[in-house]
Amino acid sequence: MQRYLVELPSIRDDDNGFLYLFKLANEICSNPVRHFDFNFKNCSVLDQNAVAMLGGLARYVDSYNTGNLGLFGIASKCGVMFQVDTMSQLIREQLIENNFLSHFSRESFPGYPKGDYIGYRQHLDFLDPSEIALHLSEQWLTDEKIKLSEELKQAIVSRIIEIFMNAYGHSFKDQNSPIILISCGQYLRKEKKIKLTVLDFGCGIIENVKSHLNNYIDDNEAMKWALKTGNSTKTDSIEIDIPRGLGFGLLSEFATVNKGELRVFSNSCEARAIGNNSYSVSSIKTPFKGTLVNISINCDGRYYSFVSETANGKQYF
Amino acid sequence: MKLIAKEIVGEHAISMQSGHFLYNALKDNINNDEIIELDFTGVKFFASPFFNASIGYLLKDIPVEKLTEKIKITNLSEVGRRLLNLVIANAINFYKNKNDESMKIISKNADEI
Repeated sequence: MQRYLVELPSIRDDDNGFLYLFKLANEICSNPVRHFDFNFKNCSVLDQNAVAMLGGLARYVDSYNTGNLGLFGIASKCGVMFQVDTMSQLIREQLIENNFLSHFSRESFPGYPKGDYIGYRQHLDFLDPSEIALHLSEQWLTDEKIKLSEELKQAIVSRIIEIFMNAYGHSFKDQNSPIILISCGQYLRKEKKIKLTVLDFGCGIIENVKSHLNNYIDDNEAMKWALKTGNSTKTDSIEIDIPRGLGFGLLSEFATVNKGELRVFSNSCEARAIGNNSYSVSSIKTPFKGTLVNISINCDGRYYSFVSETANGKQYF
Repeated sequence: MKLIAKEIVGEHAISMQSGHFLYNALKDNINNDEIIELDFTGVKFFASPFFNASIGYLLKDIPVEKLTEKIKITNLSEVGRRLLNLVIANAINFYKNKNDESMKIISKNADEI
C-alpha cells in the first residue's frame, strides 16, 4: 500500500486556508486508495474549516478502503492516521475538546467539549434533523457557553438546520459517492462569534444543477441558478412536486442582517452572501468536488433585527 | 376546531416528512365550514422544508385568500411566523409558474391541432 505523508501547515478560516484545503482534497480524492499520514509538527492553528475537512477526507478515504481507519498509534495498512504525537499541546487539546480525535482513536477521551470549539460531528448515513436541533440548542448554544436571546437562538438554530438539510440533500442525491456529511463549529469568545463549516462529498451544487436542468449552462450561471430563491434541484427524496428552494435565500438574508459572513464553495465556484436574498459568485482557483458551506454568525443581539429581515415580505399570517 | 401542532409533529417543525403529517391533518378539514385554529404552542424550531410540505403544499389546491380565511395561526414564534410568510410567498410563485407552464403547453397543443 502506497504511503503518503501530509505535513499540515497552520490552516485558518481565510482564503489561503480554503485554497490549501481544496488542493489537499483534490490530491487525496484523486487517488484515495492509499495510506495517508498527517503530521502536525508545522501546524499551530487549525480552524473549524480545517477540522471539518480533515474529518471528511478521512471518511472519504475510509469509504474506499477496507475499514482500517486511522487508529491512534496503530499503523493500519491503509486509511488515514493523524499523528497525535506530532501535535502541539494546544492543537491536541483542541482536537480532544471538539470531539474530533475520539472519532479516530481507540483511546477514550473524556467528555464533550468544554473549550472554545463547539464540536465536530459526522453523519455517514441517516440525518435526523430533530437530533441536530437538539444538539444545537442543548449542547452547542447552551447558556453556559453563550448568552443568546431566545429569539436569536431560535433564528440561529433554524438557519443552521437549513444548512444541514441542504448539505444532506446534496450528499444524498449523488448515489455514486458515499454519504459523508461533516460539520465543525468554533466559538470565538472575544469576538462573540460562532463559526461553522458543513461539508459533503457529493457531486456538488453545479453538477446537480446541470444534471437537473439537462442543458448546457456555464458553472457560474449554474451556481447562481441554485442560489436563487425558489429554484431547487429537488435533492430531497420526496417525489411530490412541492415548493422548495428557500434555504440559500434565507441564509443569505440572515448572514447579512446579522452582519456575519456566508460562503458556499462547490465545484468550480464560490458564492458569498451579499444580502437581499442574493450572492456574488466567482470562480475558484482549485475546484472542490463536493460542497462546503462556511458561516460566521454574530452572537450579539445588536447585530440582529427581525424587522429588517422581513422588510420586503408580505405578511399572510 | 383546533389542531395542536406539537401533537402532530412534535417540538421540531423541520422536515418534509413532519410537514406532510400536518398537511394531511389540514387537508382533511379545510373544506369544512369551521375555522381551523392551528396552535404552535411548544414547537421550538422551524425550517423551510416543513412549511413547504404542509402549508405551502396546500396552496396547490386552494387560493391564499381561502387559506388565510380558514386557518387561524396561534402561538407561533416570530421566527416561525416570518418563515411561514416567506414560504407562502414562494409557494404562490411556484404554483403560478406551474400553471403558466401548463397553459403554455395547452396553447401550444391547441395551435398544433
